[in-house]
Amino acid sequence: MMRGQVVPEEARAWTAGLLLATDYFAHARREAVAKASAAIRGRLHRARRASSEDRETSR
Amino acid sequence: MASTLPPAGPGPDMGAAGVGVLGEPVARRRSRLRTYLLAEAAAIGLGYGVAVLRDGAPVTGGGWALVAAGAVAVAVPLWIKSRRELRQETETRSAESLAIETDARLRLVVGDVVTPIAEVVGRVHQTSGKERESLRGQLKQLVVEAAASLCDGERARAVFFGLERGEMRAAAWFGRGDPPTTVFTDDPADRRGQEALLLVRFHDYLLVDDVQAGELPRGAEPRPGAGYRSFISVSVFCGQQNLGMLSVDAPEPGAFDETDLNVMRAMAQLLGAGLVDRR
Repeated sequence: MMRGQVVPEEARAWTAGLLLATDYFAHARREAVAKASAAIRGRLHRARRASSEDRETSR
Repeated sequence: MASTLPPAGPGPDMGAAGVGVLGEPVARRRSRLRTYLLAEAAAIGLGYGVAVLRDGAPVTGGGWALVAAGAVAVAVPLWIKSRRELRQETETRSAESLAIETDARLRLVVGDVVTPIAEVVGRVHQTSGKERESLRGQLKQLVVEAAASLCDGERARAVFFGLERGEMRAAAWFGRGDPPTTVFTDDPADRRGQEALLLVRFHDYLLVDDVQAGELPRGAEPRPGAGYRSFISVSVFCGQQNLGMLSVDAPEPGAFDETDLNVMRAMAQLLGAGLVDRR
């Protein structure tokens, strides 16, 4: 389950001019790369597991 | 006053590494394969040594030559296999890094930029008078900040040229260098200005890889002394209302690609949606 704000606090701070664009984007990039890294590795892991299960069942 | 965010964690497996399009280190894991290959080579070498020495060391030159030939025969396939496996691992890791960069960029564009800017566009239309003008000024600034930060060029600069009384002047900018001073006019002597105004009127975009390259579209020549080599310009409009031009430029040639162009188109349309007046 996932629940959160549609427009997070950091984004609101940026759009309200309370946070510098350079700080906002540096943080957003780090977060995006970390989340993307976890997501892609999760997908690769599931794909490898699915293909190994397929090989097992086809034997 | 600007606040700062707490530093985010480096994320999984973020070590010393190359730099991706997001300007962040690309994840690189320490190769376990190399360790396995070394262990495999050591085991084979040990086995071969034991097999050779079990009956005693060779006593003749021919015997030693045979042992050396056997060692080469064992080492060559092992070396070829190791190289192939290491190359495959490098290719897999590059593909994984590219996938991570693409996914991260999508998250950044959609989640961190379009979503909050769309919220500001909505608020523009819920307000009136001075508050609306203030929000519009804020929106212009957010869009140029986003455009300069999202497009690939190193030291990119984004500018919004607002259209007023047939002329375009910089209304918001972000990135390297001094404030832009260019004014685009319909004066017959201002060919660049005329072409820029036509681009806006026809709701077009223009991506130029290198302003110093041989053939350029009409009016795409840089002004003398310009500090950029590549740029994207996109018309900002809503319906039939022309509002100006959003541009991003970079000092290096070929800084932008079609993905950057699409980001700019989306930014320009968001800006147009926020700046348009009710009819």
